Amino acid sequence: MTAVLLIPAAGDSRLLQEGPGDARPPMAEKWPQEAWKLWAPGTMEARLRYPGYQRALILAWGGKLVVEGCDRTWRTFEGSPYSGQSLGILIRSLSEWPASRGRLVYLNAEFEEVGVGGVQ
Amino acid sequence: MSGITVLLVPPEGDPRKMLAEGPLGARPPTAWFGHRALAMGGHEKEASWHGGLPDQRGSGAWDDIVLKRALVLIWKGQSCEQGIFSAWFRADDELGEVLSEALYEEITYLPELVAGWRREGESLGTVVQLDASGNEILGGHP
Repeated sequence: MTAVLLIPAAGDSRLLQEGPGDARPPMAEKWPQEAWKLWAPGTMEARLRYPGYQRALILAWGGKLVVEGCDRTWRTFEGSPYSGQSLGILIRSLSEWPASRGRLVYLNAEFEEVGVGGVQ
Repeated sequence: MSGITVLLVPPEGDPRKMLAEGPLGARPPTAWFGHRALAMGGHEKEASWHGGLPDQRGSGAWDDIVLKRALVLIWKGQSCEQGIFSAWFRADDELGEVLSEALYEEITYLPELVAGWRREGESLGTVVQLDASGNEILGGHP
């Protein structure tokens, strides 16, 4: 797998929230239409009104960690900065990820979903 | 700390790319010093600090005059984790540990910490502290 995304739980605005000074986390989006079914980087607030539109925080992309996304996740849920050093460590640390924190999505090199995570 | 803003102005050319956008649209919190374009035409007479990105020609309706940009560490009393993380990630582990403590325990000494960081003559930049009205109360004269 080459990418790991985290779709926030319903009603949880912390992960994708933009901050003071126009700060913004790394985000991906997916449209419901057949032609746009793949996840891609980027997001626009205005699109949220479209039914089926989804967006997620990016933890890894292109086989590499995206530390800005990992750090926001760890600070939000663990209260501490992210200290992992590799994609392997990230994936292992997510093996017991509680579904109540959001849904993990794993993508292959073609940006297709190859798995989901979250322990009920 | 109520209402206080703490900014970090990188050295000329931003050698550590603290103000640069990260991967996949990630963006650190920034502020800029300069003259805001006015809706009725012209610009503010006095330069001042503004939060966020400037509105410059090609990006919107106005054309702000930017004299200096900065990373936001604390904005109006609110700790900006992503800004502090940027400073940490682009500095080193030693400074990072201290900045991390500052986030969760006591942030009043953050300006001194950043200003005092030196490595082989290199500086992280100049710390600017603003009061609740946006007036400079510490260092960093742009």
